[in-house]
Amino acid sequence: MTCREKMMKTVVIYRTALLVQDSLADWFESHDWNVIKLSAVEETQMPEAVDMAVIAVDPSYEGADGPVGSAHDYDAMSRRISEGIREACVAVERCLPALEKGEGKRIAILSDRAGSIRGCTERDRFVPRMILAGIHMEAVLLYNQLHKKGYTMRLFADNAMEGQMISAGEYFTMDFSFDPEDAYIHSEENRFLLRDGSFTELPW
Amino acid sequence: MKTVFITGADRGIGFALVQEFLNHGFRVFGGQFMPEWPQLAQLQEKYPDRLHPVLLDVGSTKSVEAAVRHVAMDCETLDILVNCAGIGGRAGNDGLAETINVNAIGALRMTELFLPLMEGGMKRLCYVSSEAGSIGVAHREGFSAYPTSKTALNMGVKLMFNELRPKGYTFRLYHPGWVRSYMQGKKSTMGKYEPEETAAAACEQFISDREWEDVLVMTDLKGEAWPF
Repeated sequence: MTCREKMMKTVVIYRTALLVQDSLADWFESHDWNVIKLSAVEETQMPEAVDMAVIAVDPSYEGADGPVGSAHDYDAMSRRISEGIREACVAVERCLPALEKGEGKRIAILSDRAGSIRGCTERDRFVPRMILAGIHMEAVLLYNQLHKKGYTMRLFADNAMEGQMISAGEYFTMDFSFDPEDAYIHSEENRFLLRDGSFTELPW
Repeated sequence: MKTVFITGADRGIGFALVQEFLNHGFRVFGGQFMPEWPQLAQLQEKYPDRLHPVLLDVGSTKSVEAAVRHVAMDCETLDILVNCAGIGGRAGNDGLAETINVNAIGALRMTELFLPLMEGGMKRLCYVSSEAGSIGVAHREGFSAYPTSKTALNMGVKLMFNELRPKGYTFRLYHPGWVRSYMQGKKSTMGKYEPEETAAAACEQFISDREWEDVLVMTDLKGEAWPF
């Protein structure tokens, strides 16, 4: 490892949708981060210490998934939903030892606004939406556990296709205040939010 | 006489709901997961014409299909479907799948397969969820199957609401409170409410009409709203 690489912060980008992973990796590399790409199916070695773990969620489902009243394969849905949620949890579990040894201690999850229950006006695609909402819940449960141990977390609803004010990489690397006396928007290390590319807080 | 199907009717909140609906004059089909559990059969002796236990595992598509056929042979329409069956969170990979399959997909399975029977009825769909599934007020720590399954349920109900509300269906999403339930296999000594207390409040909400049917809100036994 060169001297410069030793100075760089390291981010692990874990899994899943490879295009997203590549564009995120490009962003981090162009901002002088040392990038390690991992996936659940590849045997890439986890570095000893990392500063940030980015979990790119994969909510895909190949089966028929129309509105209620159309045909569904319930068993396949159950399997894929639990698998999709579990994949994200396993990714975090794999990264935690290296995060513990790093300095950044940040977990960032790349999600989608389709996981917002309150904001949902759609009628179909049960599986992706249930995976995303389930991961949002797991992320909050994780935040409740790790926040007091010095970890910070980010949850970003990527809408890059529509154009964004800030990108996932920018949001993931932003630091906020821990001071509860600060205005709420600036003190958000003390609560866990879902934001999109216009920096808007989305409802759960 | 109005008809209701209640899942998870063997004991706890489900059984208490059966009693409440009988008290309100309904004809009740009670989904029976544990036929060896005696309460439902004992109650049927008191209401032989209005209480009909139906073998049911909401985690099995074949079982739900059989339950639909059973009810269809007995009546033309179902007015209210109450999805109450649920399990406590199971651990591990298979545990999450099982919990999701019963607590979240079980409700979709029931709703979708019973829809043809509900077309000519009151069209009310009720779901027993939990504050545990509310992301906005989640206070538990660490990965856990039960809260996640209830969050997935809430999302599933929202998608069904978006599709079926314009077709005349009305929805109830209910948080029963901290109940001394059978969720862990035997009746808990911990909790704030007896199953009968929360079932009474739930039944009132399930049979009453609202002026605000066009919005899906999770309410508790006091009628207060919980965030998603």
